[in-house]
Amino acid sequence: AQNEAKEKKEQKPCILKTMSEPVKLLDENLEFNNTALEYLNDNNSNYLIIGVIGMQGVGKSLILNLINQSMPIEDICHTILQSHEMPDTNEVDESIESHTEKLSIDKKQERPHFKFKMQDIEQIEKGVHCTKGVDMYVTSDRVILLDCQPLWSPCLIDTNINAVTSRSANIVTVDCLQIASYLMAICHVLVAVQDWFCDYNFIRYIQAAEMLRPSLSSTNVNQESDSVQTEVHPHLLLLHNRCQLEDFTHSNVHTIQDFYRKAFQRSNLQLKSGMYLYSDTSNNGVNVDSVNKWYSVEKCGHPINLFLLPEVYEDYDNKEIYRGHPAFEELAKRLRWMLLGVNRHQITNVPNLSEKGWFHFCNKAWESIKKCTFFLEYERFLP
Amino acid sequence: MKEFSINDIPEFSNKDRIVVVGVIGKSPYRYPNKATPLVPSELFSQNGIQCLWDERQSVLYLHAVTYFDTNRLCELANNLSENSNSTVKDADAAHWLVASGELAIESCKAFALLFHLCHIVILSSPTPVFDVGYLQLFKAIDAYRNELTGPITTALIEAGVSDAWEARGRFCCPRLLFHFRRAPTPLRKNPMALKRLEHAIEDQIYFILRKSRVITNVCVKSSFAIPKNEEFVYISTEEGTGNARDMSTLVRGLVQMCSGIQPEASSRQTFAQFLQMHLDVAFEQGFNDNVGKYAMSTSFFELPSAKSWRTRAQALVPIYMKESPTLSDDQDNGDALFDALATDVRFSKARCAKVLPIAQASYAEGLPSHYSSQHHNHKVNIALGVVEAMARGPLAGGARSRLRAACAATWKTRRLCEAPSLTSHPCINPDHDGSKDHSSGVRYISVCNCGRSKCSRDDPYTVKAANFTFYSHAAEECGVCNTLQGIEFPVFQPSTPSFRAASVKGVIEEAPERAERCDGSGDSPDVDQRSEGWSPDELSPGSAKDDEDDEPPCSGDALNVMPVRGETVSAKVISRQPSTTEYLPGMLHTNSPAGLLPAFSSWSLVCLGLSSLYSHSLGLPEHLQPGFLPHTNYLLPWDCAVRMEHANIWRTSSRGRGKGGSQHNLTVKIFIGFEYECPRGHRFMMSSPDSVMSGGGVSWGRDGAGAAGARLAASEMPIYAPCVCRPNTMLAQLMRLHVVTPKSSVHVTLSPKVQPALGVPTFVPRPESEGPIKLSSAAYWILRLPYIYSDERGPVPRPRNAAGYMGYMLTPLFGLQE
Repeated sequence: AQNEAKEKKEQKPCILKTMSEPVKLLDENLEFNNTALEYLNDNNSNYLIIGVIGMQGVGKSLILNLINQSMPIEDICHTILQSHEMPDTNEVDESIESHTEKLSIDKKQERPHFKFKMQDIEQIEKGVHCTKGVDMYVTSDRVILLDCQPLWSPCLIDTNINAVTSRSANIVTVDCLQIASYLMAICHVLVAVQDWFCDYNFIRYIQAAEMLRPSLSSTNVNQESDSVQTEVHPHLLLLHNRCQLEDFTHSNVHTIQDFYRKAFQRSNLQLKSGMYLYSDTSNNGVNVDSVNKWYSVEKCGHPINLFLLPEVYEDYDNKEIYRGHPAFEELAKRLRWMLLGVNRHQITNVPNLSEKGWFHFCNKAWESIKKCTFFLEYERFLP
Repeated sequence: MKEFSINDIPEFSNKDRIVVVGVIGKSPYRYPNKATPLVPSELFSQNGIQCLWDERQSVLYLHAVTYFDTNRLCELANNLSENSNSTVKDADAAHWLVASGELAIESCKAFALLFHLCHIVILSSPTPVFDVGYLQLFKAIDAYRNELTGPITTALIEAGVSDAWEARGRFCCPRLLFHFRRAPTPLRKNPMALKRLEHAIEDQIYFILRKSRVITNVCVKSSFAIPKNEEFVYISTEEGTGNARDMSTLVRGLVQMCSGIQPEASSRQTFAQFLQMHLDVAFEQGFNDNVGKYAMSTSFFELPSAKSWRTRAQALVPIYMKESPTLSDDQDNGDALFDALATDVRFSKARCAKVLPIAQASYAEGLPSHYSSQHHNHKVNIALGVVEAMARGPLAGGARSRLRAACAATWKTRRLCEAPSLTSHPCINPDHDGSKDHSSGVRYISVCNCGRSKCSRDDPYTVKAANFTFYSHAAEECGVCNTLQGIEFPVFQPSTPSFRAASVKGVIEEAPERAERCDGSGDSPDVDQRSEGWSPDELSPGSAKDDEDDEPPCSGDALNVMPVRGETVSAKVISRQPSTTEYLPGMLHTNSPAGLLPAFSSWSLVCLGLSSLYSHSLGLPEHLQPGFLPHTNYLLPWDCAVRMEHANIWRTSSRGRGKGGSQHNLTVKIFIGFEYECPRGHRFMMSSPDSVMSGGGVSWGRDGAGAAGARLAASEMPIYAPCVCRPNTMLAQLMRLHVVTPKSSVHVTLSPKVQPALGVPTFVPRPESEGPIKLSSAAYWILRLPYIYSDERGPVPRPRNAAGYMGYMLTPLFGLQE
């Protein structure tokens, strides 16, 4: 009987469904959605959760698509540039909701490269967002990617026109803080994407989300050890998308790193976990590769979890233009390489939590974050 | 263009009608000038409002440089530390949430001033997305404007400006225009799409501002207005920004020009043209941005002369730009900006205020009337856990320290004395002064000098109580001790009533050096003493081995041979009379200055009676020596081959020993036992430095027992040894040395020397100058060792567990004398 059970266990991964496209973890009304459960493995405890946050249109979905590229795409820049194009011009008249649904079906057939939908040209023109709620995708190498809706962005306010009041902006702000807190609670790595350097308010929101995050692991009231219980803090990767030539200079990288080091000096988010733009030679040269080798600790200071991705221009294949940074493909490859290599710490105080166990924890965590009074209290202090 | 600072406005023009345009917003690190392309690229290196006068156009540009500009923000971050002056009490000023509230407050003052002094305000954003964070700022500015109505009116009256101004305080309700300085990449080449995006954003912004009541139908009530039928959003394409510092644009342009590609002439209007539309309206009919039923009522609009603008600006600037007073803890002084913008700090403050009483209650819960620091720390940790779970944000650190202080205050009145006893137990009495004795409440079971009766011993706080007083009491209780004969060890005899402790500085200075030596010598810390102070005639494994020739070469037997020497050593030493006015602090040791004696004896040496008291087949009987663990109540026989050396005692040279003269050999039987006592009153003998005695005479073969005895006599026995009751935690201490002397003409002598720890002196019961202690023959002797060892520096710490240095009874311990 034991052998049978063992066999069953071993067989189980085989019947796991592979994801063809992302499913909702939180739907557009921010309710927890269970559909992802069937894609998760109950025996695997070696997985990596990567969540991404950022304001509207900074390229959150793009980043996750880059992370998802286990096989190199021939011409990734072209794919990125084309990703906003409308697949079929006849669909312009349709409403955005149905349109995006249709679009996703089309995408599935046409471009299997990018699993996460990115804004199409019409959405960009209308200034609306593409991802709603939190999307989840499990890659073949058991990396769980979480794409979230734009945070603290105007497009969130006018979606349900009837209910808008003078306080709805505050409510949206707090909703976004909840999502950010949530991702901090359930992720190994939180990627904060920005497309300019830098908004004091975005950093403030990240830290406010950290502040408001309820203690979810408080079930073990440790009377004996007397030690203050330790919350698990995710790695934070500060990612700047759409960087220009001058953003890649030594002095600029130095400035940005110094700034974030200071700004996050009281934060518990892990800002030094090896996801560096260049290798830290003083620390056994973690993450050495040929990309970005002209950066060094001497020139740019000690690295933190900061990564710069350049803007992709249409003349990306023109080799004659000086760009001041390595090719986009190389940077994207390094980004993926570092993210997947990060220390997979224990997310909850349950050791060796399986994928399914993690998912149940997600459910519980969202319930407790929704119920947490901190967020309501915080909302009252907004003007 | 003429440039000047708002704090020092010159008479910049004589124009009668001027339009004032303000520029606010955020700028990225690389492009700090939000005001391009309206004003030339210039770097502003400090916060404030930069004024630029365009004489030809009659437009005054006011550029607000604040911490919203990343350039400035980086500098703020650089100086981010705890030592910020203008912060809420208890808040951690190095926390970004504190800093972001403060920088927003400061920036909003500048913005509010621009809303007051301008006709048009341009909100510049680096991305094509409206920043919802501005809603909070606008609301704050609204509240701030209302708060300042009084001071503004006063200031304007003082400045002597016209009546209409007094009422409204400004020229008009300024128009807010939005400048997004970057277009989404896919739309850059597509002016039509960009236009659609602009319109979409206009709808979005208008909707949001209306719904959040930042703009209203009547623009008098609002900080600013948004034009009804004119465009108010402009998105720059990258080329349109015209920023000369944008290196990538320059490089790109250079490559394009070199490759002969003509820059596409954009049909799109530039930002300057976009602004000009609004300027034209301002110069011609003025703004009327009321909507709804108020649309027909004309709003006020005034184009001031350069001079009158200057007067008013001079009156208003000090009001807006003044430093806000530091907020004290108790008073919420109605600072509108603080209330609106320092959300995180206010949240944190409220949270901590709520949690602190709960945490304090959890500390106070179930507290006994008096309690120890351990209990205090435990409760503080519980209370801190409450704070940890429920307090949040930059004030949590302050809340923790306040909680600690409050708990410490509670504890202060209820704390225990906790003075450590000599065995490291805290005093359990409520905190008291010197008038009351300490008591740890711990009681040990110890045995009296002679070993006949067990007594309960209070945890000692003084060396005297440990080594002397207790044994005096025990002796009374025992009833036998005092009747026994013994050898008194010399103590201080006062000759005057005003005796005092001697200062033994020299010894203290010497001590570290000795400590080094002991540490260095490692396993045999006694080497020095042996070579310095002792004649080679003493027993030592090395010297004994020289005499192997006349002994059977069986293992260990060499040790059995004991040289006997005459009673000459002590006689030769000129002993100095001990002091009768000063006593030795601490206990006597080999480095104590000569002539000083301790105030009391920590040792005792008594004779139980005849040697026949001990029967090796029975061991020590329970009724005479109670408390021995089973099978450990035996002494070890030591068959000691004796070499009479009186023939050559006159030759003091050690080289003569064992060679010249005739030798009278005989064998004497001595019984010895090293007795250990554990705090629970367990007693046992050790048969070697690391084994407990097991079994009596039966279990030892005759020869084996004799050899074992010899080995034991030559061993350096540990002072502390793990007791069999709890070997890991309970340490027994070497307390008694049992010696049953033989019926013989030779006398057994003792020269006990104890080094209980590393780096401390070697303790002896009497000055070395008096020589070894001579025991009478055919008698049962017990040397009781000190319970606590203490030199002039204070008590020697006892090892806490079996892992440490156990201390040693140094050899040679035994000797023979004629």
